[in-house]
Amino acid sequence: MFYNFNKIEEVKIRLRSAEGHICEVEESAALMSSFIRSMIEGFNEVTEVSLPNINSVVIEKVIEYMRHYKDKDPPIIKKPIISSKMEENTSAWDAGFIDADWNMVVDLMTAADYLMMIPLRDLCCAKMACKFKGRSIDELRAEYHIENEFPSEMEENLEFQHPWRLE
Amino acid sequence: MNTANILFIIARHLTFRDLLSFGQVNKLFNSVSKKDELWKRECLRVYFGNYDIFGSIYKGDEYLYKPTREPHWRHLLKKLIQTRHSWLLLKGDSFTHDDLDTLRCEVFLTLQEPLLPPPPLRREPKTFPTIIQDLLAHIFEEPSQIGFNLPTESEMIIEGVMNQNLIDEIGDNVSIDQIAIIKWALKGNKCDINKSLSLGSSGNQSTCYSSTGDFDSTLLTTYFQNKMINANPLIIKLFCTLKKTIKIHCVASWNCLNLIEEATELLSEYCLRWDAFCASIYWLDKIFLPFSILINQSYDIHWPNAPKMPPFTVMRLMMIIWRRHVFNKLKDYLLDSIFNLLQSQRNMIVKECPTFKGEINRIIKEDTANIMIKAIQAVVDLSVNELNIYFIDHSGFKGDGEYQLLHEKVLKLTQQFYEEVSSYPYAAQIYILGEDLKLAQRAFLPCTWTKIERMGVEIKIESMKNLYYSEYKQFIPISLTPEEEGLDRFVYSPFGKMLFSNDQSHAASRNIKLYIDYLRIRNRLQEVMDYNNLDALCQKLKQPKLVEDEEIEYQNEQMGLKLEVPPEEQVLFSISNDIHPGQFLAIISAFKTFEG
Repeated sequence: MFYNFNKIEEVKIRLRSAEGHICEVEESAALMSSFIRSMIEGFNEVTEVSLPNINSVVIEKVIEYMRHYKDKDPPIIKKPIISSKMEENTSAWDAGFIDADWNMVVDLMTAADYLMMIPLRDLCCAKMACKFKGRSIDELRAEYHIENEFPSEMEENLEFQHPWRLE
Repeated sequence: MNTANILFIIARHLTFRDLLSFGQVNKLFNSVSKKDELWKRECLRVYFGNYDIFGSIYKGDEYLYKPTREPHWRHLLKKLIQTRHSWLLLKGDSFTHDDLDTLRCEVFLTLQEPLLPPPPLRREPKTFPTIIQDLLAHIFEEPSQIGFNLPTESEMIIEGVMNQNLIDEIGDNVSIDQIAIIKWALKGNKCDINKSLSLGSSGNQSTCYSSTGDFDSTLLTTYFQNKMINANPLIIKLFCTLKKTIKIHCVASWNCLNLIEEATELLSEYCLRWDAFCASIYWLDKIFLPFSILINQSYDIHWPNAPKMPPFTVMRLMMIIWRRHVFNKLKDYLLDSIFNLLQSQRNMIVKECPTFKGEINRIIKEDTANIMIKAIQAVVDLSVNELNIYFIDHSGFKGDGEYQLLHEKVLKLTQQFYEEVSSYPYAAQIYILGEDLKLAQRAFLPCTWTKIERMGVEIKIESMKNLYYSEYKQFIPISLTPEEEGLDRFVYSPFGKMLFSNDQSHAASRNIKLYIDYLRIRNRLQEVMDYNNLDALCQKLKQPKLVEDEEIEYQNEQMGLKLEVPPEEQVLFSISNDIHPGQFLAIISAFKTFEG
């Protein structure tokens, strides 16, 4: 009697991007997303999921994350973050993965929220929080082109209310 | 997800300092940064560390009707930072800035996440179940330094400073009564530290007596305020700042506890926080021990003839602040929760009784019993002091705090429970009373469980009386001539007397003898002996002094301690009751040694 030890081909889920491109991902990896999980569990025969709000570049990035954490739990990011450098807040792989430009991080976070992937969403938020850590108000306003909406007396009052700067 | 939600998640990754900058960027950021959840998390992180070493929290299903209100976390955090800032304002010749900073870090770290104190290594027959009781019984005794108990950096700093110039500073520049007054000024409820520190040395001296020579409480308050205002030496400012720090820590603890509505969870978390606070007490008391000794020595030199006083210690200070800001505010709910648990323990004892064959979850029973025992010990901790701690195992012990309330209520509940038990079958009664006594001996002090034991024995005797008398009434003699030999000792024993007291007829003597003979034939004389033993035990329990009590008194009288302490001395030593500086001065003046 002979056994067939050949690996059984895993079912693949096809993710359709906003541009209509198809990206394939193994079902076991795709289950990291609660959104995709509910689609698969709700409709047994589903093999294609349409993601009209997410472009293919971001989907590829999400798939990279899904594949990496297919068989293990993502590390928990400490709150509050301890440093403005991501390497000190999370694993080296996560820090390297999220080391992207601001627009990419925002898109990735929106995608993670849509796909209901809380660890990825938290990673993106932690990356964004790093940009705020240890920065003065003026620096933040200048970097993100935010206009000061507070009248001068209100701004003084805000500073007066907070004793934190004493330390 | 909208922008505000995204900003909120980002803000959850920021510390409170970064939240400040975050909230000042623009109006949207500002509104997000005001969410209380962000401040609550930061507040809990800054105030309290990981308490896992002190146990875990257990949740039951008994909800208390307790008004709970979400505290203003942001305000609480602000207070803590202000307190930290007041440490930075401390200045003095004795300490360098770096020394004070090390001390400040040690104090905050000890309060936030204290280490587990090492077990006491003493060759003494008496050991105390809690850290506080052990500390109270060994005031000023240096903890053992075998291997693992090395002095901390702060202790070394304080000892270094003590050896150099602090003693000179106190001896040369400061009126000694300013140091002495700290013993009571720090204990006072309305001592406004900020005012004292900010006003500096201005203010004039006054006495506590009016022009007519009568006692004047307003003048007294002024007197104490002036004493504090003039209190320039760093040692006083240091203790005032320490007091402020401990107070804000206790307020934060109360805020956390006040949010809990479930009885077992409240007790469980209270015990956890109290244990952690006791560990802080242990370490801070040790760190500031040289200062405490200095204050007490100065005091004794200045007022050598004053009545016996409790020594000033950081432990005493911290216990009083905890009692005032946490325990007093929660005590009604804590006591109610203890009574609830006691009731549920008793219900479980009844249920698991072989007569009723009920099934209970033994793990839940043991867990809840342990929480109840811990909570009772926490109440005992705040009901003892340096004088009465030595009599804690005496059956006539009178705690001076909430333990008295607990004791009375428990006895009342026990009376009700035992009345209910007396209607159960005799075998069930024996089992339930036996198990209940075991629980009481584990949970309560001897003054309580000896009374419970007595109540149990009385109930058992009453039930036996009913049982045997009803059998005796229905008894039909099978022989007219009872066995004479050896029966008299049973007839004239408490068992026979019990039957005599219920049967006044002329034939009583003969019938009782026949009844006892009947029991002998049936091999039931052991029951008669059991009744007699129980009666003897009851008589023994009714005696005012047990052998153990006499031993406790004998041992402690050698050290000059008495079970009955005079009221004025008890007032001075009490941790459960506040003493106003006016009361203190009145007691002192009664001794005619006060030089105010």
